[in-house]
Amino acid sequence: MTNKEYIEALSKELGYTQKRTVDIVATIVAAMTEQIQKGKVLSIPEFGVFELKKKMERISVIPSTQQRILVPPKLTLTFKPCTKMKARLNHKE
Amino acid sequence: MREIIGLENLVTVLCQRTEISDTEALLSLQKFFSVLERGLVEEESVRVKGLGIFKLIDVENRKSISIQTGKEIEIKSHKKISFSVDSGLKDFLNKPYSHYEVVGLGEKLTLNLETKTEKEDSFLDKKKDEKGVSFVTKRKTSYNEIDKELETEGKINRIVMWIILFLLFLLMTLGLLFLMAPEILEQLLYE
Repeated sequence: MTNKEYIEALSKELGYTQKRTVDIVATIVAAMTEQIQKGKVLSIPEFGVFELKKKMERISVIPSTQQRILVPPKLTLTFKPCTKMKARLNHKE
Repeated sequence: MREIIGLENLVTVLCQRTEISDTEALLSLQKFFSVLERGLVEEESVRVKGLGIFKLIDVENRKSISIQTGKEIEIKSHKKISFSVDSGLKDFLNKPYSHYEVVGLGEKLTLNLETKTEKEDSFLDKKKDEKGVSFVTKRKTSYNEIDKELETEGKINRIVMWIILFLLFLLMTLGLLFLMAPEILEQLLYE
């Protein structure tokens, strides 16, 4: 499902125009980003948890040249679905 | 411990920015995630602009060992969600580390910093065989260590600079003394 198809489906559900739905989605994503950037854990009931995790620096090797490189630390956004959602996806509920 | 927030916080922000009521905001948020889930079930992949791509991946059944009992168990085939972050969002979140770059390690630095135990070595060799690509999982180097090395180098440079400045100052004082009052210097030298 592309972003366009997702917006279409959401606007049908909400009964808003697509333009308004795009605004709402952008606002939700911006609000989520702000909270996550502050280091807060975003827990969505019946869906899952969004959390920012730090990956430490590491030494890696470029296979073609065998050169050792030091990869800098980075922050990654992780998503962990809740057990109920996992059960729903596997048709256990 | 990190602060955990729920939908209430997002509802408040949504109300303020889009001028909709509390109930409408809550409904919008609930539908936002329910449509996402429905899309995942129906089409196995959903892309939300600015957030990322959610994908449903099939995991085949496999054998494993129970940690508690140590007995062999079978994990049945199931579906799991993979989430890859939008590249724009990834760059935005990584702003604090944007000044770091991938650094190529010279041989000297590698020898100094890599002091692995035999156990680690065997583990690494095993990994190399399995994947066909060698990579180091445990290391003693870090950006902090490199920063410390650079800091000590800087300290030594500063000390040398101060010594040179002091010698120059001493020479200038002697020179001035010789020009202004040569008799004092002569007295000092002859005494």
